[in-house]
Amino acid sequence: MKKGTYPVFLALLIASVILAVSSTPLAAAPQRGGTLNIGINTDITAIDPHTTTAAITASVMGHVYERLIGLGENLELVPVLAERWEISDDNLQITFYLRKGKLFHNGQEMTADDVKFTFDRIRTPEIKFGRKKDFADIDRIEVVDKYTVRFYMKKSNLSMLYSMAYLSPLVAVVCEDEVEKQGEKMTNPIGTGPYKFVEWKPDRHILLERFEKYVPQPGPKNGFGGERVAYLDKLKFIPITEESAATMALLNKEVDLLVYVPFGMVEQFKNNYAKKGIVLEEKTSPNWGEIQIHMQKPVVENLKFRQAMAYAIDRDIVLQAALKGHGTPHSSWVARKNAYYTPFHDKWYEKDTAKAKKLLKEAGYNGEEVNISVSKKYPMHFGIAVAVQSELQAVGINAKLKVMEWANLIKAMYGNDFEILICSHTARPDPVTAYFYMKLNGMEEKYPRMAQIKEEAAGTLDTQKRIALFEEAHQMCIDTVPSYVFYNQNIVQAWQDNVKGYTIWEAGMQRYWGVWKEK
Amino acid sequence: MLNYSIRRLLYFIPTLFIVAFMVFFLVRLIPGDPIQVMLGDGANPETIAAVREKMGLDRPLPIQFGIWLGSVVKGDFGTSIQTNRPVLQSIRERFPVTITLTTLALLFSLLLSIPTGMLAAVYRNTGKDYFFMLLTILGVSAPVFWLGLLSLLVFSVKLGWFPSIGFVPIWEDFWTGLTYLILPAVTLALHMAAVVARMTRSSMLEVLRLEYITHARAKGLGEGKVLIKHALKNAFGPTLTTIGIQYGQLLGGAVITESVFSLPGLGRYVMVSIHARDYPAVQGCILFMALIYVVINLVVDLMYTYFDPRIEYN
Amino acid sequence: MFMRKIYKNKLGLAGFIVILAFAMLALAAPWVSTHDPLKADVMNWKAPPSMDHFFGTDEYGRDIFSRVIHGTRISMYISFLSVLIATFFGVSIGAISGFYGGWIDNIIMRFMDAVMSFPAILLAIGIMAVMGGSIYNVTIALGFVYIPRFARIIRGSALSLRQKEFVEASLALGSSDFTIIFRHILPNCMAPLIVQITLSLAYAILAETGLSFLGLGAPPPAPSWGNILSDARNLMLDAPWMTVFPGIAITMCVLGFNLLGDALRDILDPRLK
Repeated sequence: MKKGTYPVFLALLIASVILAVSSTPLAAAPQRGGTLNIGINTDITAIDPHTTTAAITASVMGHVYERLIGLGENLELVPVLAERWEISDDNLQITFYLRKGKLFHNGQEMTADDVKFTFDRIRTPEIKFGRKKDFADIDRIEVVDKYTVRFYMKKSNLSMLYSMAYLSPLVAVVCEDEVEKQGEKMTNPIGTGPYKFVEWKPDRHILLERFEKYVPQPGPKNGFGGERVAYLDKLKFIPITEESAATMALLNKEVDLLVYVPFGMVEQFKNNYAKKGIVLEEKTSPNWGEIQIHMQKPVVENLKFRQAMAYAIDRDIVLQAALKGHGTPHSSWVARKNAYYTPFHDKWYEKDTAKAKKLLKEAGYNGEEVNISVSKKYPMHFGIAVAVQSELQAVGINAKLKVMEWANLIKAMYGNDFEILICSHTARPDPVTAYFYMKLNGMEEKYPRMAQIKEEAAGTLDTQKRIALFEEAHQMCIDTVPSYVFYNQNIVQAWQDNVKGYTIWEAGMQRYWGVWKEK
Repeated sequence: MLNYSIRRLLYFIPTLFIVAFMVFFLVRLIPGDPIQVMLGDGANPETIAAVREKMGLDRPLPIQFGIWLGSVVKGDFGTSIQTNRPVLQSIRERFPVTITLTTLALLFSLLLSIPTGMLAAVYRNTGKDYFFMLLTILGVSAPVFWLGLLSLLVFSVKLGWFPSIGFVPIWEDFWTGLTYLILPAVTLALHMAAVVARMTRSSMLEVLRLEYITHARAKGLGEGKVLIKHALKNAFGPTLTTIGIQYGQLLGGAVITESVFSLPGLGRYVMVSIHARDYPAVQGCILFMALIYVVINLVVDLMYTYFDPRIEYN
Repeated sequence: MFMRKIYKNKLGLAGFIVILAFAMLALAAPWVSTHDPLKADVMNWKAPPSMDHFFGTDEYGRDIFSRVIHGTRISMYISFLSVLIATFFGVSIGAISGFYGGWIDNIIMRFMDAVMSFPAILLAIGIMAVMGGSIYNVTIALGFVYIPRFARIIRGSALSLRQKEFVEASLALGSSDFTIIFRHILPNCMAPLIVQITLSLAYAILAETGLSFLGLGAPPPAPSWGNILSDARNLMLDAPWMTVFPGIAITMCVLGFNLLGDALRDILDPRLK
């Protein structure tokens, strides 16, 4: 180092130290107190978390309840109520060691009995738990001691751990005595979370209040795990169905935070609303949008036709129509943020009109009508439909839109009654549960290897083995085109600039621990 | 007159039965599997079958109707599939919202329409008449949800006079509650105001030509007194019937207004339930709204006797 | 004579002209519109009004002007056909009920009462939820809910005319029931009928927009006025032209029907002479 540059270097060093020091008091110093008004786009559907699959219920009640194990920032498994767990060599016994001194909101300590009760409850036919089959391989649950509980499995199924940790439905550990006391219709949910339930006025608000006796876990905030400190006194979730009204409420400062900013409004937020003290954040989630192509219906059963479709579509057009460009192109059922993602999953078809037309000719396609089933419930689904239709028409495919009610679409999806169907999925930390849909479009029947891959992957948590299996699954998708995955969708949220410590979690769940309001 | 009232009440029963019948079968015809929607992706067939059996949805329709009607008469509207709460409890929570909204809208629309209608009648076929009528007709001509959103934009965001979302019951805090309800109630009132203004105008015109008005004028009564004491009272009869019928429009309009202004009323509940295929909730809610409407019309009919003694009751 | 009276009623005349203009627009839609109303050009979304796109483009880059023009067609279709349905069934039911009286009247009227017990839009919502969205279903649903209004008008005058001597006489002379209904009863209630028809046309257009707003109207790609307006509402803070133009079109058309209906009421109602 020459002499002349030294003072400059020193000056820079001093400057950066000053900056570092002076920025600390600006960033830190969380303040306790206040109510956070949160604008949500639909109301919760139930306060008993076991009885609904609605993501919004899981998001809200995720402050009241805790899971045995949860998902971390990158959708890995992290300890929550269970401090650690052990899996026997044959995968048939899973033992959970519970955290000591965790209190329910009624003051009772959470014990192994409550855990056993919870997992027995969700498996009984009386409870409308939506993912029973994920837990069907449990043989019995044994309370070893007050803080130890052991699951005996009928067969090896480690995917179950992901189901326990999954975002929605929330597999909340409930208080046995309370549930028994309140009966089947829960009125006052009692959990172990940092906030306790105060009231739910349907379509008006859900109010939560800090649970003063909550003891945060050690470690940094990580997904559902880590340190969860409640700074805010109260959380008030306000359902607002009209998108414009929701934005107006944010502009009027009637809500502090909006969990759903319409994609079409992002530019407006950036250009104009930022000046009014509104902070916008955008992150790519592992949620994906796709079309499913039925492998056994006329016309689309032809592999060459499906490949022609894949060559006909420009992904960017779909991305624009569905999300106004607010997403990351992606090709696979294994999301970009997934622990099992490898660059191999980016392999897919590039738009090539000439190839598409050639394949159509080879397939013997003669202008037969092909239906695209879509629901109007989600604007992005309709956007995909509009784009896919115009792209398919451009190469000469007679694509028609079949717009239907959400309930009918679900029925068509499970009832084998579609040719091309548009859907989107929320984060699937365990790709096994994502590839579940291959059962619905006849893929597994036509290519049984797909079912085997799922079976093999469910039986192991070995990362390398799983990566190899999911790459094989993706190669099968490339070869057979059972679907076309377009993108990983962005999540856009906005809040007043006095809301601090909040950040979007790509998994799509809201988290208000570690968040405070500056006065 | 008592006879008339009793007969009117007796007619009530078959009508109600048909209403209940229509509600039940209409709702049951709604396609889509409520259980599948409720349980979402990946529910297994056994769970679905179990839930269906538990809710009695696997029985033949006429039996389901019988059971349902029996329990409705006893005041049990069933349990919501979606929220697992008693439907009647949800209705009870939301009914006050809708009734305050519609009553307030009724008040606003009368305040707007009766003076307008009277003035238009008095200044018949002049520029003033045309102006008032055009104004009221404009109110009835724009889509409600569009008017609602525009009024939110102007009065809530630009002027900041009213909150844009939320609801505080006026029985908890009258003035605050009112600020939340004024915009939606006025939006809702415009439609009815137009209709009632036109009705008032034409019945006023009719009454103003009658002899006793000329007589009253000849007696030297002030024009204002003639208008209000004599003309309005007699013109109010037909207007009142219109109000009864129009109340149905308000209840129907509430379905839209409550969604625009995020009010937790019955109308929003109907829509949420329809989209969720929540049979018991949709049934209970539509039936209840029809009931309110029928009762209000009954009351109006009976009140009519007071305002128009010329009516015969046989 | 009739036309002259309309001509004298300035507001009525204005309404008549507006409706005529919209009707012609509906007929000429394919020639007036500048773009294919369904053609998406997603990269050119949210374009403000320009010489190429008079009303701008919507969120999928479709030309709003062309959509509004074609929407006139759909909305007119729904409105006229649904009122036709309501008039046809309403008049038939009302005439039968009033003419025959007795238990037939009783049963029919209880049923009509039941239909009238529902707020009209609520019943239409219920029917749409059952039948699913399509232009035909919207038409049928709206037609159905308006039947009782027409039935009541006709029944009333049929009941009173039934007692009249000339009807008795003509019955005695062997005229069929059908002839009497058409010769004597219908002409006598033309005035309120015409007024009711005009006002119902206005209601039907508004009801369609309401159903679209609630997601129960014609399914999305169809450019009905209700769809155009309710699809655009989520971007109204950002792209106001998307709601302003279709909103004005709807309001104008409904205003036209209402003005005409009011004028007709004034003209046809002999008591207001």
